[in-house]
Amino acid sequence: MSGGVAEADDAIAEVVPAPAPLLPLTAAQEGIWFAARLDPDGAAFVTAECLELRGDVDLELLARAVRTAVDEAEGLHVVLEEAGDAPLQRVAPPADWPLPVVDLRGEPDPDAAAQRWAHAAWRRPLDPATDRLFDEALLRVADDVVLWFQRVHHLAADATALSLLARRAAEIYGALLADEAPVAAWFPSLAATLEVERAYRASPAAERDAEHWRGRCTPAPRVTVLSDRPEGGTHEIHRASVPVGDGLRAALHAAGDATGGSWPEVVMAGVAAYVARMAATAGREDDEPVDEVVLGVPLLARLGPVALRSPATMVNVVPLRVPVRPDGTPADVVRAVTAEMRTTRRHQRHRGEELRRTVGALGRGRALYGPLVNVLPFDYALRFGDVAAVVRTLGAGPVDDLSFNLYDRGDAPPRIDVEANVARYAADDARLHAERIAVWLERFARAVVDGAAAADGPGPDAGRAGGGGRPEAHGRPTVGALDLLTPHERDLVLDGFNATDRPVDPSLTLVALMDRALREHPDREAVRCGDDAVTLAELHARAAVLADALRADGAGPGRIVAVAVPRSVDLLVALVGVLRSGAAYLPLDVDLPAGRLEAMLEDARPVSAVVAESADGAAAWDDALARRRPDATRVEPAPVGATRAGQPTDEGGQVADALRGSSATAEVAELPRCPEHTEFPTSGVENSARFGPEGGSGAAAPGPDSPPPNPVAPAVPPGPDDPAYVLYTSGSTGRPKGVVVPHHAIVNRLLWQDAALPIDAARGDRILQKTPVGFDVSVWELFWPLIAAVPLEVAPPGAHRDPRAIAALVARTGVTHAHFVPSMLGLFVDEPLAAECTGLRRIVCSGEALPPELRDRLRAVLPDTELHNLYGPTEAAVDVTHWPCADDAPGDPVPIGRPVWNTRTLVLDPQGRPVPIGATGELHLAGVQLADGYLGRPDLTDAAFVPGPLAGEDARMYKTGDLARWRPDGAIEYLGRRDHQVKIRGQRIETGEVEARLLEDPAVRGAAVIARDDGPGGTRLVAYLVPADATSPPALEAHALRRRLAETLSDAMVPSAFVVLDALPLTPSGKLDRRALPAPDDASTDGARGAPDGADAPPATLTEELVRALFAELLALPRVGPDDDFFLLGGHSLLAARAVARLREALGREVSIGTLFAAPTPSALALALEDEGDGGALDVVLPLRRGGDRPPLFCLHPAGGIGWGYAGLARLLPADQPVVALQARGLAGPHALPVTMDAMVDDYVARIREVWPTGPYRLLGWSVGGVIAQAITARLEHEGAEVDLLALLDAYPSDQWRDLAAPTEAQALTALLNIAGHDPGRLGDEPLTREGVVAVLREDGSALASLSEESLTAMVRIVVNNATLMRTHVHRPFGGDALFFAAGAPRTETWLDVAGWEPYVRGGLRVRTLECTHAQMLHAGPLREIASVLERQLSGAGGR
Amino acid sequence: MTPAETSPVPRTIEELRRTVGGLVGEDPDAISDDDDLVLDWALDSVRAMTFVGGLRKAGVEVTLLELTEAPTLSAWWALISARADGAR
Repeated sequence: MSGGVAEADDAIAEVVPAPAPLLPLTAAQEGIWFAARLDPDGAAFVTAECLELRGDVDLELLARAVRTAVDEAEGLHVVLEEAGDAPLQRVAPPADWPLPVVDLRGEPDPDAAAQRWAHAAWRRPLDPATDRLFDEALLRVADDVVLWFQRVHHLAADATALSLLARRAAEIYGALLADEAPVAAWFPSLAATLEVERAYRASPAAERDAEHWRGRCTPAPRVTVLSDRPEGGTHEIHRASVPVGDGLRAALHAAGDATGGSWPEVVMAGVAAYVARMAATAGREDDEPVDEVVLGVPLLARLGPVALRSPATMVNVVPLRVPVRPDGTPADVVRAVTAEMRTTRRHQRHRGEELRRTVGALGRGRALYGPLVNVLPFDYALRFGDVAAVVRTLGAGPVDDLSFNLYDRGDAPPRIDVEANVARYAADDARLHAERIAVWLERFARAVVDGAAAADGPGPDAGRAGGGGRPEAHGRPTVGALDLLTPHERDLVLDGFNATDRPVDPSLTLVALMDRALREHPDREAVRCGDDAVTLAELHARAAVLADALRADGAGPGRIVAVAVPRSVDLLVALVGVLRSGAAYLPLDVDLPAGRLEAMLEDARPVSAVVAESADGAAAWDDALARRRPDATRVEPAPVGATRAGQPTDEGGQVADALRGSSATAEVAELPRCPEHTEFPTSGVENSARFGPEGGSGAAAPGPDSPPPNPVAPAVPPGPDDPAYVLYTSGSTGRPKGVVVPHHAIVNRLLWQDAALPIDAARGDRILQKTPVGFDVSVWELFWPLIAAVPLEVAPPGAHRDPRAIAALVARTGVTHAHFVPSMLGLFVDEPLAAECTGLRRIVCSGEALPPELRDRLRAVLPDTELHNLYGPTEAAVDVTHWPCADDAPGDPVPIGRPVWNTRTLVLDPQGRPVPIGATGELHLAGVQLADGYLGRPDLTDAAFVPGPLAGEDARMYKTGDLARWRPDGAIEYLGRRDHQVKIRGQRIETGEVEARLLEDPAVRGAAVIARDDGPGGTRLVAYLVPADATSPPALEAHALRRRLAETLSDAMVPSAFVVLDALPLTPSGKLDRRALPAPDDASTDGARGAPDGADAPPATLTEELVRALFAELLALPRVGPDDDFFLLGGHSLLAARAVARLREALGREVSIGTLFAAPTPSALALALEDEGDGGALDVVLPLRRGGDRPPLFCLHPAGGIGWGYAGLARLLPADQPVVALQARGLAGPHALPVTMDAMVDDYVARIREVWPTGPYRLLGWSVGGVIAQAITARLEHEGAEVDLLALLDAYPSDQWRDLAAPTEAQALTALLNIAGHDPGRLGDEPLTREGVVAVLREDGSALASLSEESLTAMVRIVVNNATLMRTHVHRPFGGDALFFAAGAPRTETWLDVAGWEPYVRGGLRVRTLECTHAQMLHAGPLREIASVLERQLSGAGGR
Repeated sequence: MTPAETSPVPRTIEELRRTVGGLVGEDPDAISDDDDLVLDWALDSVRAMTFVGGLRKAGVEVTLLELTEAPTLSAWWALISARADGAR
C-alpha cells in the first residue's frame, strides 16, 4: 500500500471473484444444442425420472441431501452463452433454486395425481438459453411414500448422470441419518470431463475408432424404417407401454444363456428381426429384399474413473448393422448382434454426431440408423438409509423415428415402452407396435432356445461369434417362419374386420330381382333417355320378346349374347332381353376400335348379337368402325358360332343384326348353329319370361297374339350360378381377357348397395347412366334402378366425356345419384354449372384413388351431396369395399374402406400369410362376389384365383395385385400396384398389352411402356422404343405406330408420347430399369405432326392462332401446326374438356366439346368456331353475348383496339342482356386508320345502327373506350336517338390528355400491358420492348400473347393512333347522365379528375370508386361490382 | 457355457481369468493380466453387472463403479481377493 489516494479505495475494496472461464461444449452437448435449436418444443430434450421411496423417510434430510448433491454437480448449473456459431458454457455458482414439497395425500387418488403432476412438470417448456436446466421436487403420496421427481435438460445430464445424482443423494442422506460426515464429493468438474474428451480426441485410439466407423458406414447402409412418411420437424412422440410378463423375461434370459448373448442383445436381435419382417411384407415386384436392419443403440461411452463418475451427458448413439435373413434362425441373429456389439464397444467413444457428419457426406439427408433400442437394465438397488428406492423413467431423449425402450430397473415391474415420432406414426401405430413386440420377443426368444437346443453341444465354439454358415437344421424355426401377429390381431384381420356375413337368398338372380320390382310397380317409369321413356312393364315386355328371339338362336344359361347398342332405352331393352333369355351379355362399346371388337368376339363366341338398327345407332356403329379403319371395306369373317357384328360392307352399309325399338318384333338374322351347342336343356321349367303384372294394365304383355315360344329352345331362366355378364379387361401378355361374373355375385353386390345407399322413387330419386357399358361400373348404374323400381336416366352417347353436359343433364332432369371416376369428378367440380346440381343426393366414386383435396373441393361446391368411395376389380362383381366420406375431416386421406356383404378382404404377404395391421401386403378377395374366372383361359384363371384356406368356408381368393394395408379402425388403404398395371383416367391397362402391340411392328426391336405423372393432363402413358433399324426416321414411325395402335387399343391405351432410345436401360440384375427412363421432351412427339412443316405455317386467322397456342400449351409441345389432330398428338377427353373451357374463356362465348371432337385440328376448329359467329374475333363488331331481347350494351374498345376484355363483364350480366363489343379497324388486316375521333365515331355509329337500328342505346367504355363512348352518345343524342346508359370505367376526358407529348412506342406498349390487365410497373424501370411485353403476356397465358407478329404490330399502330386521336378530340356535350367507376388505387397521373367531365355530361355523374388499379378494372373482382351496379340501371324501367 | 452369476467366487486369478473369458466370449488364455477389459475385450456393462451381482450375492462387496474404473484382471483380482477375505 502506498500513495494517499489509493488507500481509501483499498479499504473498501470488495473482493469480486473473477468470472468462471468460458468453456466449450462437449461433443454430446453440441449435438443436442443444434438439434434442440431446430425444435421449438424444448420438452423433447428433457430427461426425467421419479424415484419412489417407500418407508420411513425423513423429508427434511432428504431435501438437504438432494440439494447438496445437485449443487455438487457443476454441469447442472452452467449458463450458456452464444458466441458466433456455437455456444459456450460457463459454470455459475448454484443460485438459490426451489425444491418444493408437494403434498398429494389429500387427493382422492394420490398415485394418479402424482403421475399427472410429474408428467406436467416434465413437459413444461424449457429453453436452455434462458431457463434453469433442471427442476427438482418431492411429492408426498402417502404417509410412507415419497417421490423424488427430477428433470434435467439433456444438455446437462443423461440417464446415467441422473442415477449418479441419485446415488450421491442416497450417500449424503445415509450419512445425515447416521449423523456422520458424508464421503467427500466425488463428481469431477466440468473442466475435468472436457479434458477427458480432449485427451481422447488427441489419442491414437480416436483415429482407430474413426477408421473403424468409416469402414462400417461405407457405403452407407440402407436404413429400413417402419413408416413411409418422411421425418418431420418435430420431436413430439406417441408413447405406448406394455408390461413384460414373467414368461417374456424368462425367455429372454434363457435365450441369452443359450447363445452367450446378454439378454439386452437378445432384445436387440428380436427388434431387428421384427423390423425386417414388418418391412418385408409388401412383395412389390421391384422391391429389393430386406436383409439387414440398422438399429440405433445408445452406448454409455464412459470409460475411466472421470467419465464413469461424471454427472454430464455422455451417452453416444451409434448404428448397429444387424444382418437378418428370413431363412436364418433367430439364434443366428442374436449371435450376429453379440459379435457386432463386441466390436462396437471397442470403438464406442467415437461420437455419433461426428459419424453423422462423415456419413452425411456420402448420403445426403440419410438417416444414420433406424429404430432405437434402449435397454435400461437392473442396477443394484439404491438405498436411502434402509429405504429402497425404485426408479421410474419418464423420458429418455428425443426420438426421430421409433424407439423400443425396455425398462427393467429393480423392483418396478419391467415394461416395454414404444415411443414413436408423431410426424411418422399415429398413436395407434405406437400401440400396435408395443403390443406386437412383446408377443414377438417371446416367440423369438423361445425360438432361440429351441434352435440352440438342437445345436451341437456346448464347447469352446458354442459361444463364438459368427456362427454363420451353419446349415438350416431340421425343425428349427427360421426368422421368416415366426408368426408376426398377436392372437388378437389375427382374429381382427381374419374375422373381426371381415364380419360381413349377411343372409342373402342363394337362389336369387338378376332376373328374379327385376321381376320382383316389376310385379310391385309395373307402371313406374323405368328408363328415360332424352324424350324417350318406358315403364317397367313396357321395358320388360319388349325385353321378353327379344328374349324369345334370342333363345331361337341358342341363347340360354351358360351362353353369351353380344350387345352393341349405344346408350338409349334400346340398350336397356337389349340387356334385359339377353338376361331374360338366360344368357350372359357381352357389352361391345361402340367406341372401341374394330380390331379390338373382333378379338373379343373371336374369344367369346357369342351365339348371337344384338345391334341397334335405329338410325343413330347404326350410323354411330358404322362411324365408329369407319373412323378406326378408314381403308377397310371388309372385316374378316369370324369363326363359326359367333356373329359378325356390324361391319360396313361396300356402299350400302348394312348392319347384320337389328333391333327395332318401337315395334313389337325383333328381327334377328339367321345364324349358323354352333355345333357344340345343339343340345339344349329341356327341363320344361316354366318360362319365367312369361310374366304379366298380376291383374295389372300390362301394356304389350305377351298374350294370345304374341309369337309362341320357340319349341326348339324352351325357356330356361338363369340360375344363380349361371353367368350374368362377361366384361373384357386388358391382358398383360397382349390379349384382352373376358371376366365371367355369375348372377349370385352381382346380386350380392346390388342388394348390398340397395341397403347401404337406400333409394326410393317416392323421394324423387333418379339414377344416371353414363358409364360406357364395357366398364363394370355400368352394371350397377343399369340394374340397381331396375331392381329398386327407381327411374334410370340414360345420358346421350358421348355425354360422359363432357362435364358441362353432365352438369346440365343432372340439373335439368333431377338426377340424384351419379358415378364419377375421380379424374372426371375433378373436371366436374371445376365446371361452374356443377354448383347448380344441388339435387344430387349422392356421388359414387370408383376406378382410381380418390385424393382428399378432391373430396374437400366437392364439399365446398356441393355441401349437401354425399360422397362414397368404392373399390373393386372387375373380377369381383364391380366393388368389394366401401367408404362413406361423410365423417372425414378436411385433409384426411380417403381409404377404400370396409368390405361389403359376404365378402372378405385379406392383406397377405408373398407366402400367403396375413400381415399385421399397418403393414403392406397384397389385397386378396374372397366371398360370393368372385367371378367364375376368365373365359377360355384356365391358365390365367388358376393364376389369379387361388385356394383360400384362410378365407374360412370360402374356397377361393382372387389376387388383386393391389397393395394395401389395414388401418386400426378396420378400413383398408390402397397403396398402389405390385406390378405394372396402371389406371389411365380410370381405365385399367396392362402396359404389357401395349408393349406386345408395339413389338408386333417389325420396325420396333424393343419396347417399354410406363405411366408417367410428370406431364400435362395427369397420368399418361409413354412408350419407349428401340428401333430395329437405327436409321429409320423416328418421326414417321411414331405417327404410323399411333395409327396402328388405335386400331386395336382403346383411347386410353394409346401412349400420349413416344420416345426413341438406343437401348432400354437395365438394372444390374438385368431387369428393365423404369426409373432410368427419361421424361419425354419436345422432339419425341414430333411423330404426330400433319405435314412436316405444318407447325411453321403462318396462321390463317386469329382464332386459328389461338387454338394452336392453346393446343401447344395443353399438350406441352413447342408448336402445333394447323392440321395437327389434337387427339393424335396425345390429347384425350379430359384435356379436351379443359381445352374447351379455355376456349370459352378466351373467346367469350359458347364452345361445345362436340365441336372439338368433330373438328380436332386447329384449322378445322377455327373454321367451325367462326362459322358459329358473325365473323372472326377481330372484326369491328364482336358479339360477346347473343341471347336476350333487351337493348344490347355496346362496349367500346380501349387503346389497343380489342374488345375481348369485356367478355368477363358479359358473363356477369344476366342471360337476357346482349353484349356487343366494338373493336378498332385494322386488327384483322391492313386498313386505313381513322384520322379523327369524329371519323371513328361516324364509323362506329353506323355499325351500331346496323345492329340496333332504333335505340335505346347503352354504351360503356374503359379507358380510351370511355372517351369514344361519350363521343358516340353525344352523336346519337344529336341524331335524336335515346341513350339509356353511359358508363365510364376510369376514363377521363381528352382535355386532360391534350398537353401530354405524343405517345411513343413505349407508351403504346404500356397501354398494351394495361389492356391485358397487367401493371406495367411489373417490368421494372427497364424500357419496354415488344419482346419483353409479349413475354409477360405469354407468361400469364394471356390470349393476347397468341397474336402473330402482324397483329401485334397492328395493335401498336392502333394504340398510337388512338392516343393521338384522343389528344386532338374536342368533346361535345351529352345531355344525359353517366355512371363513373373510378380506380381508387394511388396513381402517378394525379391530374386525372372525374370533374373534368362535367361540361360534357350535363346530366351529372354518379361516381363509384373501386379498390383497384386502372389495369385491374376488367378483372373479376371489380367487374362483379360494376356488373351489379350496371344491372340495377339496366333493368330499371326506362333505365334512367 | 453360462455367465458368472451362478459360479462361486473365483479363488485364484486363473479362475477369474476363465470366468472373464466366459463373460467376453473369448479364449481365457488370450486375456493378459493388464489388458483393458472394456477397450480390448469389449466387456459390456450388463455382463459386468451380472458378474457383480453374483459376487455380491456371495457376500463380496464390490461395486460396478469400482470394477469399471480399473478394468483389468489384476485390479479385479486385488479387489475381489481382498473383499472375499472379508466375506469368508
